[in-house]
Amino acid sequence: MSTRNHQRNLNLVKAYTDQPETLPPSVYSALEEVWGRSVSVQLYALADLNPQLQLSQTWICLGPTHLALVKMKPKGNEIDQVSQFPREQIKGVLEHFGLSCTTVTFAGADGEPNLGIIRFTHRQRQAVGAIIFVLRQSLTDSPFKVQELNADEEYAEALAQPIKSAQAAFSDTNRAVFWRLLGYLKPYKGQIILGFVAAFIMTALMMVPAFITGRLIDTVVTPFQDGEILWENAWKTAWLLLATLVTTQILRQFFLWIRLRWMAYIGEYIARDLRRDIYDHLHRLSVQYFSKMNTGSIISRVSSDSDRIWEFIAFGVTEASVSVLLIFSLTGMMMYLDWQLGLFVLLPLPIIFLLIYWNGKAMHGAFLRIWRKWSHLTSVISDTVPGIRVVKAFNQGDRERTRFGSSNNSYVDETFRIHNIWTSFWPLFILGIQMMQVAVWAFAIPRLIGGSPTGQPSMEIGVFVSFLLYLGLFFWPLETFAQISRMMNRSLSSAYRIFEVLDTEPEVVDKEDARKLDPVVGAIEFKDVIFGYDPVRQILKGVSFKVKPGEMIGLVGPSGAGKTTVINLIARFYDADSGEIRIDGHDIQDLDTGNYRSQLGMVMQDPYLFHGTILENIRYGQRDATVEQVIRASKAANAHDFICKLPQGYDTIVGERGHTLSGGERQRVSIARAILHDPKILILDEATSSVDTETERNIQEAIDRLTENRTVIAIAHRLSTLRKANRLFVMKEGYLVEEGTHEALLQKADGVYRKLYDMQRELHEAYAL
Amino acid sequence: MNAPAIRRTEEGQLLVHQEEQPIAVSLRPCFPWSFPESFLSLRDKDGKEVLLIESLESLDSESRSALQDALAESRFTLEIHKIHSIERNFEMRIWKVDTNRGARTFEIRLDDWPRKLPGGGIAIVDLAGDLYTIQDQEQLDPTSRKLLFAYAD
Repeated sequence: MSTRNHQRNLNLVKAYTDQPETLPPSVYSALEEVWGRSVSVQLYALADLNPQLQLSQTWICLGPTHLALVKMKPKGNEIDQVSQFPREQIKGVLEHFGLSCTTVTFAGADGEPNLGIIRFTHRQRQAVGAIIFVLRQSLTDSPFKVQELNADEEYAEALAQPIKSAQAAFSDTNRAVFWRLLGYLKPYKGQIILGFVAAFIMTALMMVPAFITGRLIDTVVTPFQDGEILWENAWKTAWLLLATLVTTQILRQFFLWIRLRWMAYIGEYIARDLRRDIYDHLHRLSVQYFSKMNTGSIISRVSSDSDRIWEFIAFGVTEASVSVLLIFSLTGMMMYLDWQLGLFVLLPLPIIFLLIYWNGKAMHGAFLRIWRKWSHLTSVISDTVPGIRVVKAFNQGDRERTRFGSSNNSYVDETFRIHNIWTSFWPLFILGIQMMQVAVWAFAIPRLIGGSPTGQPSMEIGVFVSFLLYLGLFFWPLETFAQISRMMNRSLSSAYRIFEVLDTEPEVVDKEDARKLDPVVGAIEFKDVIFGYDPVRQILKGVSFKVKPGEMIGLVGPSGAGKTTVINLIARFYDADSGEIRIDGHDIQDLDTGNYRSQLGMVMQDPYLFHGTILENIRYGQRDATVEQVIRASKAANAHDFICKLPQGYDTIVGERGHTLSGGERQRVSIARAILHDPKILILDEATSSVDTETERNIQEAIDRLTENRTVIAIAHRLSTLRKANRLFVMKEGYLVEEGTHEALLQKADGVYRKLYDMQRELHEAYAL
Repeated sequence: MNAPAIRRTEEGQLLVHQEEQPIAVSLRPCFPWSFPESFLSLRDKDGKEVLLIESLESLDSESRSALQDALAESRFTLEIHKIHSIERNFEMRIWKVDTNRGARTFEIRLDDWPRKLPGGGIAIVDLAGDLYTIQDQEQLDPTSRKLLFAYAD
C-alpha cells in the first residue's frame, strides 16, 4: 500500500468518523506493560459499543500470542481496564449480526466460559473482521501465514473503504484541484490570452455607451437648448458621438464573438484532453481496478464529467472574470462621475448579496425535496417498466398506476413550494432595486435643480443619466455570481472524479528491462504462491505445481477454492503476494506483459463480443489474418456453418445493438477467435457451462481441436468435459490438494476428486431420466 | 415434547433447552420493522432454524425476558435526538448528530434518502451500513427539524 493512499485514509477517518485514526499511544503503553517492550500489535480494531450498548471505546489488539481488549475511560485517552487471553485458548469466534450492532464472542474450550465478548457498529465490521479472520484461520489446519501487515494501514483502510467507494475520495483541497484543472489550460496559452483579452476589451467597451449618452446630453442637448452653442456645432459633436457609439457597439459584439468562440473551442480541447487521458489511463490500469469500480461510474467519468468541465472552462471561468471586472469598472465609473451618488449606491450592496444568498439557501432546501420526490417518481418507472410482465401477470396495473399517480402528485406539490419561493422573491427583489433607483432620484433631484428655490444645480443632467444606465448594468454580474458558484461546485466534483482515476496506480507494472519471450514455449510453474485480493483474506495459501509445454491440465474443485484466481495469476491480471510464478523458467514479473499476453488465449464462460462484424471479432487478436485463415478457424470452431446461414454471413454486425447470437454461437465465435490467435498457452474458464447438451458437444469438439499442441489450463464444473486432460489439479480452500490422472484420482477412496465425481454421477443418474 | 426453554447467558449467548443438550442459537427477527416481536427465527451456528417463535406470548416469562434482551441487542439502532448539521461534501452528506448512545458523525450517499418505517418514523442507512432512526420528527428541537426538512416529509 502506498504511503499516499495511507495518508488519504488517515485524512478520511479523521474528517468523516469521530474516532481516532490510529491506536492511541496510551493503549500501546498499556500493552507494553502486559506484553513487554518488544511485542508488536499485528492488527487492531475498535469495538465502539459497551455492554449497555452505549457508544464507547474498547480496542481489540491482536498480538503474536495474545488478544487484548483495552477499555478506555469515557472521556480522554485514559485506560480503564485491560483484559487479555492467549490466542491458543480461543476455540471459536461467534458472530451475531443485528440491525446495527454485531456481537462477537471469543469462545474458550468446551465447558469453559467464554473468554470475551465485544459489540460494535457496522462501521468497525471490516477492521474487526480482519482480526476474526486471522483467529479463525489459526483454528483450521491451514493457519494464516503472517505477512508483513501494517496494523495502522489495515485499520485506516478498513474504516476509509466505504467512504472511498462512495466518493472520489481525494486528499487534495478544492484549491489544489482547481489549479490542477487550470493546468490543462497551459497548452492553449495563446488562445486563452486571446479569449481573455477579448473578454476584457468587451467589458471595457460596455462602459462606453452610458458614458457617451451622458456626454450627448451634457455637451449637445442641454447647451443647445440653453442657447450656448450653435445648431451646426451641436450637430458636429452629435455626429461624432453617434459614430463612436456605433463603432463601440460593433467592436463590442466583435470581441464577444472572439471570446465566445475561443473559449468554447478551448473548453472542447480540454474536455478532449481529459477524456483522452482518462481513457489512456484506464488501459494502463490492472484488472483489479475494473472489478472494484462499476462500469457505469467509469463511463460517466469519461463522458459526462468531462462535459461538465467543458461548460466550466467555456463559460464559468470567463463569466466569473468578466463579472469581477465589470463590478470593478462600474464602481470605478460611478465613483468617477459622482462619488457621493456612487457611495449611496454601493453601500446597500452587501445587503443585496445577502438577499441573493438567503434566497439561494431557501431554494436549496426546496430543491433537495424536489430531487427526492423526483427520484422516487423515476424509481417507480424504472421499477415497473422492466417488470411489466410481472405486473401484467399479477394484474397489478391499477395499483401501479395509483402508486405512480400519488408519487406524481406529491412531486408536483413539492414544485409549488419552490415556485412560491422564487415567484415571491423576484418581484420583491426587483421592487427593492427600483426603490433604490427612486432613492437615487430623490438624492439627485436637489442637486439637479438646486436644493432651494434660489439654489444652483450642482450636477449635470447627463452625468446623472450615465449614472442611471450604469446602475442598470450593476445587477447583472451579481446574478452571474450566484450561477457560477453552482457551476463551479458541479465541475469541481467532476474534476475530483476524473483526477481520482488519473491518480490510480496500476497494480501490475512491467519492469524497465522486461524480457520478451519469442515464442513462449508453454511451461508454467507455481512455487509456493500466496495471493489474496485484499491483504488479510488469502485466496491461494501456498500453491505449487509444474505444467509441461503442451500439457492439458484440468482445474477442478468446489467454488471458492481459488481456481479462477490461479488463471488470473497466469494471465498476470494480478501479481502474487509471495512465491514465484515462472513461465518457461522466467519469473512472470520479469516478462513484457504485452508480448506475453499476445501469446496467451482465453475462452471465458460468458464470451464478450465487441460491436462490429463477426469477421472483425474473429480477427480481434490477429488483425492481418487472411479470410482463408478466418474460415479455417471458424470451421475448426464449428462456427462456419451457422455463420453462413446468417443473411449477412461474416459481415453480420454483432455485439451491443447488433444481431443477437445465442450463448453457444457466441462461444464458438470466441473459440474461432482463440484458434486464429494461435496462443501458446490457452485458458478455458468454464467454456461449456452455460449451454445445452447438443451445443456443448459442438463446443467440446471445437475445444478439442483448439487444445492440440498447446499448454491448456481448463476450469470446468462438469468433470466429463475434462476427459482429455493429461492431469487434473484438485483445489480446495486455497490449496492444491490432489493431482494426477482421472483414474489415479478415482482410486483415492475418500479423496476430494472422488467425492466430486460421485456427487455428479448421482445427480446425473437422479435427473437424467 | 415440552415447550422449549430459552435462556441467555451473561455474555449474551442465547440457548435453547429442548431435549438434552442446550443448543446455542442466534436470533433472526423475520420482520424487524413490521412485526418486531413476532416471528423470531432461532438458528444454530450453521444457520439452520431450530425454532420459529411466532409470538413472545406463547413463552414462559423467563424465556420471554431472555428473548426480549436478545431482541433489544439485535434491534439496536442509533436513535437520533438532535441534528447539529447536515453538510454536502461532493458525493456524500455528512450528518453530525446526537443519538441516545452518544454523539456520532456519519455519511450517506448523495442520492440516498431516509426510508419511511412501517411502524412510523424514518431510518437512515450510512455508508458503513449502520442504521439511524428518528421515531418522531415532531419531538425534535426546531433546529433539527429545520435541518431535516429537506430529507423527510
